[in-house]
Amino acid sequence: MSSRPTDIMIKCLGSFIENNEYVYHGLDSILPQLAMVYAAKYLKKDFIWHSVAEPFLIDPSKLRVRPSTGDPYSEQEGITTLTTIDAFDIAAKGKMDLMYFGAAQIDEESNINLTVIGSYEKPKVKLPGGAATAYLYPIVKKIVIWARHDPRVLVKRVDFITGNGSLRINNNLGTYLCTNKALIEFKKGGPILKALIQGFDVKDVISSTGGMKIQVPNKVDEIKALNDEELRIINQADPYGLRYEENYG
Amino acid sequence: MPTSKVMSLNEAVDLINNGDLITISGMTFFRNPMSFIAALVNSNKKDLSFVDREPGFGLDVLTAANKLKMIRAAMATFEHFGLSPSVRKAAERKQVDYLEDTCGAVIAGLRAGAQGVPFMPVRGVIGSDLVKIHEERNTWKIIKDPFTNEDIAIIKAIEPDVAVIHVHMSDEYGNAVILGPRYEDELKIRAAKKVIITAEKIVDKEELKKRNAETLSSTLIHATAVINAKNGAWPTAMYTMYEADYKAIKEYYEYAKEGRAMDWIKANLIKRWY
Repeated sequence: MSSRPTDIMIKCLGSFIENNEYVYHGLDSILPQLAMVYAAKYLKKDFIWHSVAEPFLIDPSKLRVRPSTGDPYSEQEGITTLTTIDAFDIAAKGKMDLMYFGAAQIDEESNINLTVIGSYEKPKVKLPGGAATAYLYPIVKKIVIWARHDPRVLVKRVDFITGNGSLRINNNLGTYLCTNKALIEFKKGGPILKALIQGFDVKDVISSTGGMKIQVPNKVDEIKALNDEELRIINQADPYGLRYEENYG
Repeated sequence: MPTSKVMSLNEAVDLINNGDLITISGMTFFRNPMSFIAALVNSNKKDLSFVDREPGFGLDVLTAANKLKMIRAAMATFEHFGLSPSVRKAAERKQVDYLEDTCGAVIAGLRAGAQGVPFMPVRGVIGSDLVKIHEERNTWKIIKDPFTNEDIAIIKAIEPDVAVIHVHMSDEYGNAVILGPRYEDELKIRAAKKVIITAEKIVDKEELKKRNAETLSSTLIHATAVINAKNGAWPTAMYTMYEADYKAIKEYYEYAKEGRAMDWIKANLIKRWY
């Protein structure tokens, strides 16, 4: 079985975790949850795992993905419960190193929208809501966003700013986007293509946005398909392939 | 000795007035007070407002049953299954007044409510379009920090009329224990004007002593009512006792998407409790 773009996205998301960092994931976050497993088990990163599920200091090798990433039965062998209240207080004190966010829309300033397509008053689609986004987006040191590489998602300007990206960029806080085609970094001059997901080329990346202009530097890396060991680790945590039902390919 | 607060689901539902602001325990598919929600659906209560951080199943059932006129939440989701089906429909059709919030602000509002202070400052938030919406609703404001003169968001205290909290065990007075994830439930218990405890089992003082009273999430000072509700979170999970019944949740989701949520609720929740 060979890896799919979803798996390469997981590798991309996991590559941002460093030793000793305090890393957190929220609800509806199967890809980040698997990225944390990947970082712990394959990259051997020694980091502090915490999530909205609330068990604290779990054993990543025991993780099994379920339809909710808030399921405390997924994240086993923790030593205690550390509440979400605690997590957000830690973030407010500037001690949350990395958080993952999804986005229904993201724009050139890395503003993200999880609230509404259309206007707030007259919604075309009422989205689930930004959850912690408005609160955590300006204060977490490093944020990695995952989203579908689609003209409806990568836009010039979001319909609604749930999380304000320009504040992050002005404060030089690391802001990255892993799509099912590329890794993009947001800087003061706009989004920059950092790496391609194996199987896609620059044209695929820049032509399939809805107005977001992505700068292409001379050197662009490639994130390669997963080897057998990488895939084994992810399959062990997600034996039924729930990750593929998220429709990232 | 204090008076026993044990009562039936129907007696507890009568503690709620039409138009009240309510909150419930748990999160998406975890420790929702489903026995009480069934009772509420089965009652003639109406025009309720609802506040929570990240609700899922319980909120969707209340919305499908047309019990709510207003919802305030940071996210309403069925996660892997999709958008919260009845909430999405009701919000898009303007059948409920939906106010989106953010997790840290809901927590701050409940914290203010629990502490008996009018508001709570909070980091983050500034720069989000949610600020304008909340300023218009008079739920958040941006003020100058009187010490540094920098902008800071403040969140008005959230004081639900009623908090309904499902716990692992309680004595008949409302001294109650939650095992595992607690979310904001302890803040809700402290912020609300009335607290309805539904418990997997009613225990005596000796059992609580064995359990280590340091873990009490509610006390008789907070609780208004106590209800014996074994399996009272189903189909949501009760950590250490039973897992989320994803098969049932998915089945409900499919029914709700087809506009048949009430068929499922009657056949499963109402039938279970009545």
